[in-house]
Amino acid sequence: MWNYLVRRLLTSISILIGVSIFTFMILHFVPGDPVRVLIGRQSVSPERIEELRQEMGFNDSLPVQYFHYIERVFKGDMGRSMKTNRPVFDSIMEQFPSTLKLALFALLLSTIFGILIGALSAAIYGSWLDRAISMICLTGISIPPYFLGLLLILFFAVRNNWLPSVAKTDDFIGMILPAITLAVGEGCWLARLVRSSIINELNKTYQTLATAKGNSPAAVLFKHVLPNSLIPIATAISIQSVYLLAGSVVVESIFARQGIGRLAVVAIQNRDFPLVQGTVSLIAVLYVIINTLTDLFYAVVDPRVRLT
Amino acid sequence: MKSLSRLFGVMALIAIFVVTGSVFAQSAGGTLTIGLAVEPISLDPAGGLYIPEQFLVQQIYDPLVAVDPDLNFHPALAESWEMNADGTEFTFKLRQDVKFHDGTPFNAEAVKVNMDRAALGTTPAAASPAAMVGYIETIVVDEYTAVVKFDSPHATFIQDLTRPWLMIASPAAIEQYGVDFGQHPVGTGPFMFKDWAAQDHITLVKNPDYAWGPEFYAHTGPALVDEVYFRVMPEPAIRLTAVQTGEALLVQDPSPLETSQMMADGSMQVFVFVAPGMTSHQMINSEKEPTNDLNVRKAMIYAVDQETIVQTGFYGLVPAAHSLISPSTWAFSAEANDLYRYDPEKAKALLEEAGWVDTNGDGIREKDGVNLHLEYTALPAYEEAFMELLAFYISEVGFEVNIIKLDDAGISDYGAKGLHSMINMSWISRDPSVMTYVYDSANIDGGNYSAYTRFRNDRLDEILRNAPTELDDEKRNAMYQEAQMIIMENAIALPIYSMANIYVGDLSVKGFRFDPEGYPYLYEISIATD
Repeated sequence: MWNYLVRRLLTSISILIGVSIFTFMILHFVPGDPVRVLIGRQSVSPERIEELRQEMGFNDSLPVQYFHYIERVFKGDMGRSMKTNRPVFDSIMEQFPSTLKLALFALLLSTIFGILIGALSAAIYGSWLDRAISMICLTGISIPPYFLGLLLILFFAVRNNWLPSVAKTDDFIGMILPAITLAVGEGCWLARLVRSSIINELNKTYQTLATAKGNSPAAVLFKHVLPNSLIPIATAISIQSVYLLAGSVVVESIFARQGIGRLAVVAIQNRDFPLVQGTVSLIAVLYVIINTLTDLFYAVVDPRVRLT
Repeated sequence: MKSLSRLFGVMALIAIFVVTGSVFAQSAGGTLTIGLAVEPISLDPAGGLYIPEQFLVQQIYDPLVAVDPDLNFHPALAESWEMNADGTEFTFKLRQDVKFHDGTPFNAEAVKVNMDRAALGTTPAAASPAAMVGYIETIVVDEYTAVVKFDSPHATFIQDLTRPWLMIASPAAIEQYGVDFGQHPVGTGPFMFKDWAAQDHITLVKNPDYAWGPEFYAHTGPALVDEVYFRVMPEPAIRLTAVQTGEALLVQDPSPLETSQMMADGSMQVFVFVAPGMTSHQMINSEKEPTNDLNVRKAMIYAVDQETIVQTGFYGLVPAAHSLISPSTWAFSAEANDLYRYDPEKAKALLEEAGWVDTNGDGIREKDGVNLHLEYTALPAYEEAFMELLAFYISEVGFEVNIIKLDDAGISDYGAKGLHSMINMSWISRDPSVMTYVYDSANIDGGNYSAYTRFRNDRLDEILRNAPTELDDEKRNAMYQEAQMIIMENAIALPIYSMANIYVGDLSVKGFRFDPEGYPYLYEISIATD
């Protein structure tokens, strides 16, 4: 077990190093000089531009810049935004709670929806209702969030005025439409997964034994089949939680919510290197942590994993 | 023409609401929620950039001299001012009853602190240093008299003072907040800063002590609404939705299609301000093949039907443009504006004359085996509404147009290296002097690297550099008219439409009036409660 843990953690760390190098490099290959973007259309002497480049460290070679960056991050300094001059850490921490709240709420919605609908579908496997649910879920997966968001706003906010379209960040009511927009795709995807993994388990022989022992069909489904199909479902949910965090970009823009997705988009447009690195790294770290925890969870519940 | 008549309709509407606004002045109070398109970065006048900052800075701070919608100057924080004969020294007598929001008094020392800061700018992108070129110092003569000195004549200084970048901030607060002053603005204006949650909202509350508004304001005393709540809404369709659902009372830059519908059915108030300054036009690269040929450039201008573009792309909400300077700008040249009108036949003839013929019948003209090819570097954020149509018109006369979609940073990179055939430009300003920023050849491989036409003309450079120091208005006017002729005759600008600020407001918003740069006076707005 310890052996597995160490190997898993080493993999995670190497992924993080890879992500930080990749983010760093890609920013430098996108057209657009960050110093020029910063200055905009003001007339600035070439000497002043040189001075700014020097101050911001853009004159060093890329590897040197990268190591300076990593060095600073380890000292707990993520730098300041080039555009707003505010500390990157503060900007992220101000935006992150909103993204987290939205993602958790959407995760809750998609999990409940996915498991209930998936289990229902599996129980009535092959019926017309099952096929209808499948069709609806396929639509849910295919519809892009920005379009779904607009449809929901049109129906719930403009036509009927039941829910606000752009309510304040702290307001729970205002979170309902964005959360549904985020959750629909993931919920439908989960429903299909739950359905197929339950059907997979239903075809196994142990449930015949369970029925032979006098269990009712519902008891067989919930006491025996569902627990056995839990491993792939748990993985799916953990992966979803990261998708929901990272996928908030579009939803945050449509519903004018605070959040790191929007923060990252604006930062990329401004070539605000420190802020882009900060936001992308945060998402990468979360991704890796959640994946690592999921893998460790496997190892705990399923001894076979530890051997591979 | 249809767009013009619509525009007059809107103006008439505005006039009606200005008149009726005073009726509602009694029912003061309430919160005015405004949907902003872009979030400001800093609310420090000396650190600010352009559009998103300007609107808010004007609410929090006062200028020394104010300008009314008809472009007349009025005393604001300065009771009177005087310029010496050389145009290098400006003496201001200040009001004695003004207090900053933090309670500290406004005086000559505050003017000095602010002018010193503005001359340097507090961020690399600050707009204020450009208005303070040649600044020597500010002398505090007594508590309420200040003299601002320049080393050369500064014809536009009084005009510059009316703009947000030279508005007066509290020296005590500047000291207290240091580099973070832009997030904690303190001025003397009709509204006081309350809070700012990034990407969510900014709240301003009315200044209850405000008694020093310029005389042309529709009322005196404090502002009519208690609070202004700015929401940042990046999506145009959502900004409009927010007005429909009542979540915002006023929004800027809504999507043109829905706005034109609302205008037609009268369910909302639509306010359109045709902005002075540079129109939205394409700067054509005069160095790169094939646009280094005058006939090719002229052909491009003749090929484009601006009237149809504004009808299709903007649903007639903005007027078509035929010069790089908008008709509402001081020193606008009607002669330059009349040089080109849509004429595809003439465009084709010019291309034939220049030796570009379609020999292989693919619809694209060639010369010496090379296609008549344009690299159109476009910024979808500004050009989405018309870029495909523009490319279509140009290709109709035999060009091959490759649209390269870039963001702001990408455009400035391509532009500085001269890799483009054309780049879009627009700049709202009351004075044509903004042409200098992008038409002075010093900005080709230096300065701000934004002279995307890469056009070198000694006479044009001379005008653009000397006009700002010319104190005789008539001469200055003639100089700028000549500059417009040089640019249009050399066909380095392909005009598309006049910039416009568009606001959509709920019917309860009363007293809406545009300032000379197209921002509403929030001080005059009230909310009708019926």
